[in-house]
Amino acid sequence: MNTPIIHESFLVHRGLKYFRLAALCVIIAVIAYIWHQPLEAPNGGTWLGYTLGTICAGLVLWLTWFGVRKRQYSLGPSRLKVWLSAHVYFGLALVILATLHSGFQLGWNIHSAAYILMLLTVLSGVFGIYIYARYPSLMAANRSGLTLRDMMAQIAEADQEIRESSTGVSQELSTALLTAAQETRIGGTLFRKLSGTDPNCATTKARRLLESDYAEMGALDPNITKIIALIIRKSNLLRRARRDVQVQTLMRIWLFFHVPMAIGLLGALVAHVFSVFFYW
Amino acid sequence: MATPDVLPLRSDIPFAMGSREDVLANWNSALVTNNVNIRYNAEVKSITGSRGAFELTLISGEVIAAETVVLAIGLQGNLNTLQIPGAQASTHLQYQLDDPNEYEHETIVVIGAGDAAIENALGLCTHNTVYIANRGDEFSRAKEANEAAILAEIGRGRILPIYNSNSKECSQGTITFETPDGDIKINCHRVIARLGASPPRKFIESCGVVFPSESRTALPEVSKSYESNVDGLYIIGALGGYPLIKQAINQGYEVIEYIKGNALEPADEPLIKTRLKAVHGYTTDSFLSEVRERLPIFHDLNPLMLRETIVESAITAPRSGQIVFKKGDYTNSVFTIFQGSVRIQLSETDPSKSVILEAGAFFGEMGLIAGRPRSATILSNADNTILIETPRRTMLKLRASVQSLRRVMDQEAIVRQIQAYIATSLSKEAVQELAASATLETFKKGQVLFNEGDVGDSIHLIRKGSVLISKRIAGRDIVLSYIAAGNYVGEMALMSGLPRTATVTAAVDCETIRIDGIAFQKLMAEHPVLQAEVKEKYGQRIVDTQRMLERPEAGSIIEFLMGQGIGEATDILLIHEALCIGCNNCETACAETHGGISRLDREAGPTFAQVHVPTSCRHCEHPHCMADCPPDAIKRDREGEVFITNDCIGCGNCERNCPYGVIQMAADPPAKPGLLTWLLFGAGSGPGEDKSQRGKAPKDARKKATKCDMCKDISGGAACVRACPTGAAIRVKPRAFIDFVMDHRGDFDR
Repeated sequence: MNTPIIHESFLVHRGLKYFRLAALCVIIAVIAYIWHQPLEAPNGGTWLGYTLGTICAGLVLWLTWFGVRKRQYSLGPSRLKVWLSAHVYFGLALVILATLHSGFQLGWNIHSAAYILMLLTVLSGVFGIYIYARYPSLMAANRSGLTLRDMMAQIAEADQEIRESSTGVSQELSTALLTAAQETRIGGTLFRKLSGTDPNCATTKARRLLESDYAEMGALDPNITKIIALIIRKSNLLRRARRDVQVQTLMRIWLFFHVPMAIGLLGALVAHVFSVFFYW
Repeated sequence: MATPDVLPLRSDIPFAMGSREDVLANWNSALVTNNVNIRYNAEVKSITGSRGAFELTLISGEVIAAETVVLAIGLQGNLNTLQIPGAQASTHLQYQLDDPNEYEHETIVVIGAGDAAIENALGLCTHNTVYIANRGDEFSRAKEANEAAILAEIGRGRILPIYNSNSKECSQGTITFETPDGDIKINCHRVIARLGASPPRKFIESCGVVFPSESRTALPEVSKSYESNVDGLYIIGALGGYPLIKQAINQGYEVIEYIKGNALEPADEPLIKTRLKAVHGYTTDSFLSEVRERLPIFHDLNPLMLRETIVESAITAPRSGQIVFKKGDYTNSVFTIFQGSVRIQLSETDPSKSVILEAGAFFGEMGLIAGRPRSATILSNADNTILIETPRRTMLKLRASVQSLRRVMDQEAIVRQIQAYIATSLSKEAVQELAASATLETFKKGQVLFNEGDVGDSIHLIRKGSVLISKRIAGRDIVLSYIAAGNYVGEMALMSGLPRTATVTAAVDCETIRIDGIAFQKLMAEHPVLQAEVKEKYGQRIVDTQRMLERPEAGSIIEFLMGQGIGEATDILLIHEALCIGCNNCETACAETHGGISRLDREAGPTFAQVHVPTSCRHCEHPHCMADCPPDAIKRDREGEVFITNDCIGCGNCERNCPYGVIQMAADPPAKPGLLTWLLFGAGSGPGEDKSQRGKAPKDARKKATKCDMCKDISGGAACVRACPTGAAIRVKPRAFIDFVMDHRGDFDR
């Protein structure tokens, strides 16, 4: 293994080695497509069409194999990063190669279904690239050194301190604080996770109550001031924790589209190849 | 547990690997069936007299007469016990804790403020209500990490502190403390008092036994038949230098035979014979006496030590031209030349540049001292060469207890290190005078070697550890550079004649060779080549300093990494946060390639300027984990990988000694089901799942220490790095990484 001495993203691996390779393949294919003048309109049935089709089918198989390769933990010596770099650029190249293979002939049939599925798979992959390139920094900035576990622990601490400070406060406030401690939720449904907020957050409600009805009292009662400070602290932590959940969910959710569509594509591809040869 | 496996057990009392309870039960029943005469509750206060007329005085005042005495009291000493009313009668009092997971839903009072008490309290607090009773009001006696952890738990309210408290009395199920605010009585299920132990050395010296040195690790000398310098007083077990149970049991058997006057072949005799296969024409005794005769460093070893050294060493007969070790290897054993000679290759390219070492000499000590890779390739230089290769731990033990060995070795090492790292072009004779003026100095982490503005009267050759060079600019200390072992500092002031221009601080615990400035200048005056070399380095340093000064923020990342142990690391895992997608494939890969237990915790650990240092082994130059491993199960491989062998007895010393918290005690997790069984029937855990084996291992499974071995047995290198899809995880050599950071600061700015 060639050990790097510094971090290098999969996108720029070895001076864009796989980008250049994939681009080269595309350029050759485009030149061949322009140069090739079949008797009828360009389609999958010419010798160039078959060649491109075979290449595309091979690419699809190889691209899907990434899911297997990712789990071959003791298989050396290549790094998964190198595979991902190649996966990304050849995946993008597939769009052009498959389009050339189709000869721009689309219709309501199984062949076009495979093509559409391929496009959707690649599209979800592009979204994945965007997520992988942008979100880690956002997540790190939001975390600034704390893990989600740490945030939860600090939220629990704040709750504990609020509980200790809230003896002797009014019944209304006491109830609101207790509800905030017991019924504040982070995450939940997928929609909730993705939104990164909770409109019914019990802590927000308690904070609003404190800010509107008890702020003046806080000037006189140091206990209330302390509770206000704690609830603001907790709110901030909650906001960060929800943001973290949101980012983490985003970083995973696209795979729930990418992978099933890739499997679907595999099926459609088999049907496409089978029908071509069966109904020849 | 029953290590060393090769050693046969010589005893009527059985001993085999098993749970602690089983082993103790076997011993108890064997003591009964063998009619062993035991006096319980008979703590000995003093031993006087000698062979035939010993008098043992007990705490109770009773005196016992004995002809011979065998001391088998170990090194732990007597645990201090609570001396309060009711302590004797209460069964809820204990002075040790084996497994904190044994107790749940109990109220437990831990007494003490040291590491043991803190670790117990921390271990117990997840499942129990825990009080910690501290005589003072802080935990400053404990290790930093422990202090921080206990204060955090107290802050969280998970451990309840009782400060400024003295235990007053106890009765079954309660304990009462005196505090400035009055007495506090606590109802509890259990009281664990960790009050430390009285070390046995004082007592043993009072019996007339002499220790060879003041070193904390020194052990009393004993003869081949385990007799101490006091006639008739024998010492066996850990106190005699044998910490393993099986060795100690064997010695118990042997010592009685010796006292009875029976000749007995030592249990290790067959082992020595196998070691002697490489040499012909020697009996054990004649070989041992030849070793003592020919090899000056082994001259003062007592017979038992010499035997053990040979048992633990390997004896090889490399033919002329055969490589003993290669430059860059991380092996750390020390070689002595029993016969023949070896050739040290000073230049990789020019074989004519070499030095011959003859019989009687030793080599390889630099790896032992500096923890650095081998600095030169060494080959056998004669067909009849016979080498004794002694492992690191044995050598360290000898260095601690045999002063002459330490002295001879250090003197020689100073000469060689000056030659290797400063005056490469000079002969041994030329540096001899300089070496005589040199002194060894040790610095604790954070201690200053010299300050900016001091008079420059010496240079320091760093032979162990590493240092940080910093300068005070606008009231802030700016780190300029990091200097590793094998380099020198302090030449700038010496060359310029001006005061020190920067402050040098130990980044980790360091050892330096301090060389007198005047002697060094004299040597430079005599040898222009040396002067030119030093001048070149001096020039380079000035350029580096100016470059770093141009970017005053530059040193902060180096400083951060130093705090994370990079100063003593040989290889460290770093994760770039802007690339890490949090997929945990690194941990999964680690678990999947290492029997189901991940040896790294990605999320844990600090971050600075987007560089995250996860909890994962740094493979230290002088591994803290190796410091106290009874079966010597922690080894270092050729590339520097520190790994744990199957000999681990699960004592947990390494886990406690590691300052970076990268070792965990874990039982083997249950075997994984087949993919289909898991997929279709949900049996067990699937691929990459259950990296922690939380609660899944059988309850009586024996825990062993697990840590990163840098995937030394897997082709392709570290699985964590290979499995990272985005390139966020890399393992780097610290020097290379720091050089890169110093050159490309922009990439690491916040």
